[in-house]
Amino acid sequence: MGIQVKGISSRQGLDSRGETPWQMLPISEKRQLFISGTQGLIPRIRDPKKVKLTFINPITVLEGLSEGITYIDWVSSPNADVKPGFSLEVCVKKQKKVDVSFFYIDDGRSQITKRDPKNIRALVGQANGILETQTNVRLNIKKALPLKVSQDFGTVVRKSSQFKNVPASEDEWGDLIQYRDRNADLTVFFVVNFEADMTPYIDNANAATSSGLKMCVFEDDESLGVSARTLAHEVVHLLASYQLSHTTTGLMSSSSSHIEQYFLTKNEINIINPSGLK
Amino acid sequence: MLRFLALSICFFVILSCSSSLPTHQSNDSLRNEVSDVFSSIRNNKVATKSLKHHGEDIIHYVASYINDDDKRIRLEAVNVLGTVSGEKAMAVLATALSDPSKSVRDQSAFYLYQYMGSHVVDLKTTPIQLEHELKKAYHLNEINAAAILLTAFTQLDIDSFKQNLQPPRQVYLFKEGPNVDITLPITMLLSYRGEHKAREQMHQEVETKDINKLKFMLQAITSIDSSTLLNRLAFNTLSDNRITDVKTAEGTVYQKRIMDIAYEAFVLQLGIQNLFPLKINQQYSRYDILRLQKYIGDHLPLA
Repeated sequence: MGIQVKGISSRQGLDSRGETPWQMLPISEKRQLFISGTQGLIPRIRDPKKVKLTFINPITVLEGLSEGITYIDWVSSPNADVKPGFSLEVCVKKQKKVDVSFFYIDDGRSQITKRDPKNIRALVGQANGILETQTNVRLNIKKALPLKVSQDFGTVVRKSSQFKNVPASEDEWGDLIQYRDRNADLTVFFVVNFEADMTPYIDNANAATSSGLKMCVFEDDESLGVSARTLAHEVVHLLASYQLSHTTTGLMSSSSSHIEQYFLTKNEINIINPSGLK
Repeated sequence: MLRFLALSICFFVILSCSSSLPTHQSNDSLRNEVSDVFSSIRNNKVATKSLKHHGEDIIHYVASYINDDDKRIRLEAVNVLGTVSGEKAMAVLATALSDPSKSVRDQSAFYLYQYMGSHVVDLKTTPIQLEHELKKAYHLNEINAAAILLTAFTQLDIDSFKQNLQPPRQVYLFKEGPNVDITLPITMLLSYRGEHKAREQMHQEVETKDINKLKFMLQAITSIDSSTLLNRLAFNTLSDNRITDVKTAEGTVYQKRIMDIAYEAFVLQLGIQNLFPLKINQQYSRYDILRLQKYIGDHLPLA
């Protein structure tokens, strides 16, 4: 049919790669779409209790009314039994809140994070600009406090307990576990450098997250924009655990060359915010 | 798997031995002699004594200088251990492969490589030579494998490797293991060295459904270091109930589920046999598997 669907924003939770394009829609919020090639077809909502549809030419505006999945079909006539020429799947989702406590590590030696609690709103705001808009998962700042530790954390904070031939004293990740905020959904520890492999002096990881321990260790050396992407990426790890792997493109890619990519797929969004699926 | 077990045990024994060495000279006098030599270097003086004639007796006292803050001290410790040679010295020397200083890393790699009695190979090496080197690397253990690559392939990255070794070549690196494309073990080792592209490629490799590749990665699990890669490999294999042939070192073939192979590989790799007892030649229950998955979820974070 040559019908194309595009979002006003690249971060609005639209996955148009499948046979049926899919849009995440928060309850009581709107998403705007450019839908071209539908001349002569009439839109019909299968469950009007879930979605409200308006047109501000050339933009189609969807508004979420109640949680769940429905379809908008473009049909050639209003008869009930006519086969749609084109359909859009819409999943209306409730908001999922993630309370995050941020601790700024100061060991009085090499690990004194350069980050400042004053900037946490900007960081979380940008991360929400990636995550909330696509998934309706919203990060809330529970705490943002300096944390002085007595241990010498060395030049690189390591997660190395997986190696039998690395001394236990090298695993500062293990030392940080005790400082978690147990009332938070996630505790983020900001440090200067972090690695979780055998080559601590080669910079591979920006951060790492354990969904079981609800903790994340997050290193310093990135700009605000890159840090916001990393935070959004880590929150997906927190919420998805082992259900999602790294990808070659998009927000879940691990490559620094994809650092400008923020896209999440329908599957990824549904795993981290399953609202509306049942 | 038996070879893997034997190698793991050997490596532990070597490490344990290095901390309880027999002494011929009195402990205090040897400790003082070592301390004097390293103090001279620290104070910008030329060391007047050589420690090399002490042989293995010296290893225990020199080992602590491998982690010194002063790069010159660490380099001297590496040189002493490299000259002393022997398995005990090599076990300590291997820890210097992740030293912050490139010169210390390279020097320790040089001694390890020399100890293995190998010849230096370069990118012009034939696939057969490379396969020979890889076999040797995997049969020793992962640290020596890293040493081979540090020394022999200093300029090697995954792209140049692929360009230089065409067409793809299937290799048996373990007598009892599956044959895999040689690219997989090379990628694993380059990722172990911290090479970015190889690490990225490994993110795709651990998601594979290819039984031979999965079996190989589990068999050579000590060559996978990244917490994320181990986490993903664990969750993909611990949920895989496909049955596959397993060959022992003696050539006996029996059948096992991928998830059981994975269970044993991860328990041994993480050294958690006390928490997760092994039931060799038995199937692990769903409860066993879920417990291990939870442990891995908690202890191997995703980056």
